[in-house]
Amino acid sequence: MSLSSLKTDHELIELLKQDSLPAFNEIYERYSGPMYKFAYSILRDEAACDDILQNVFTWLWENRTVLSITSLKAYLFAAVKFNMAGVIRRSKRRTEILANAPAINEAEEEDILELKELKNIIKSFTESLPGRAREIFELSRRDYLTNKEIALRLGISEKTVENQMNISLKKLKVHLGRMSFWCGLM
Amino acid sequence: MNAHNELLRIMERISDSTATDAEIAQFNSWCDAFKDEQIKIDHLEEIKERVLLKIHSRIIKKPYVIPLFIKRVAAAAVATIVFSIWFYSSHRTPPNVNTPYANDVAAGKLGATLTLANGKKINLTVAASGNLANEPGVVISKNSKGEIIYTAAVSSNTKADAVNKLETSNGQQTQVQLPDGSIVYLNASSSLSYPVSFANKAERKVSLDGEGYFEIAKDKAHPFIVESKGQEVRVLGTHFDISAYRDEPVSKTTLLEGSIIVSTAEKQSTLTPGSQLTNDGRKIDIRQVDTEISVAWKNNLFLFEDEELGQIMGQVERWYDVEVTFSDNIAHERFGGGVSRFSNVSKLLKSLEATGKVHFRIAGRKIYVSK
Repeated sequence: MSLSSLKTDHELIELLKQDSLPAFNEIYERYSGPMYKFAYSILRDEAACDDILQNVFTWLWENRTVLSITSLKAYLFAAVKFNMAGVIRRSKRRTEILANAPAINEAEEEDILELKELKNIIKSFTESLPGRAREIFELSRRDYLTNKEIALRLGISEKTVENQMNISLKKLKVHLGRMSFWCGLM
Repeated sequence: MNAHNELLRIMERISDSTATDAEIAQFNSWCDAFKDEQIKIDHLEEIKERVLLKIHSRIIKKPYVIPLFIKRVAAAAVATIVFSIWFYSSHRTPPNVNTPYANDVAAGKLGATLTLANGKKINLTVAASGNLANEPGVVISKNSKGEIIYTAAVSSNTKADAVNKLETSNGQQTQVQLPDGSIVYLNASSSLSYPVSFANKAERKVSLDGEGYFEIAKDKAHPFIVESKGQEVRVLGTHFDISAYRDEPVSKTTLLEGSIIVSTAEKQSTLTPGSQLTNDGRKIDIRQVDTEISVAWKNNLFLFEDEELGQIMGQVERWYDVEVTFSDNIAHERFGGGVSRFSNVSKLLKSLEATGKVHFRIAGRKIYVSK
């Protein structure tokens, strides 16, 4: 009756895409513990870790049909990392958290997979923007160009750049809202 | 310190979707450095369960509603065991002489009506013990104690939407083991609807009208959900009681162990063991209670503590299948005490009268209450 624990991650993802709640629950059972431990080792805050776990799995369910996941474990851990970035930057304890980091190790194979998934998550927003909007967004936020500089470089009016950035920032808010809605301040 | 500021800036850019590959890699390595830490978290299983419940309540859409009805059948009369009796009122006065009643009403008993998915009704009070009916994939039988037992058959081709309904009339009480091993006690004048089989279902969802005590078998992959008047209770495996009669103004949900989430149209509340949520359709209250009292009925006791007479007489109506009429306005007077549910109604009434605060007159199946 209960879903076999012997199913592979790949099979679980396929079932998840067909709206299988048991598959979702099995994924949760498989990875929520290690994910929680990982988040806790960095944040040392139970409520924040609760929120992150909740966010990541809610996100997983709500986007089950559109997600393209190569490694489920790497994807979930990358999603935890992405959420943590937002939690730490807003945390009152951020200095303490940053000071706790152990020495950085050589990246192992699993971590490289996670890095790949993390990049996917972070870039999923800019990649969702249409061509010109994306160009403007990246010049502004990644290369730190001013609106005037962007206008000159792309041969458009400064007003257009400003409007386009406003639209993109609104979209970003919605996009990130979905990924990190429950993250409160620690 | 500078390194910390640099890292913080990277985190900001990650949150804004503007970080470069190099920055993402730097943040990634920083996170990974923590992975070798041997960290021990107490109660991790509890945390996982708590968070999963919250996730479920967010991702699962509002449930469908199974239409319910209550069939009222005259209860058969059987009198049995007598228990110790004690009753007090909130204003203690000397007990007066026992009033003899012209007639008496016998207690309710174990029994129920089972309506199968195909519409066939089985009276479990008279049905012989043994195999009752074979539904696809499920065997239903009644053991010598009168309990209804389900067994999930090995090879099943159960109709996905087959629903059985177990009902008690006034004066009846029953107990059932569902296909997942969960046990439900059903108080008088109540009904429980549930799928014939939980196999291939994401959730174990049942619908309650009246009062039920639930001992839910743990199955984290399949949350158990009870729909009742104005609310939904969501659990993974625990013990709790729901009293949600259509004609009572207040529904009560009492948690004995584990953790449950109660959702109403307005809000969600997480209960801790020993707490009781009351829902009057407008507002919700949560307080600590003596759970022994909330589930006394399933232990075959009437047990009250500081309970309104109106509530007590509501239980009397359902269990003794009588009609109660108040001649004086004393329904809000509070009483406490206990008596076996297998005694005739007079035992309970005499005990209440002994407080000197209330008097009863029995006429047929009617009970009149006065000062």
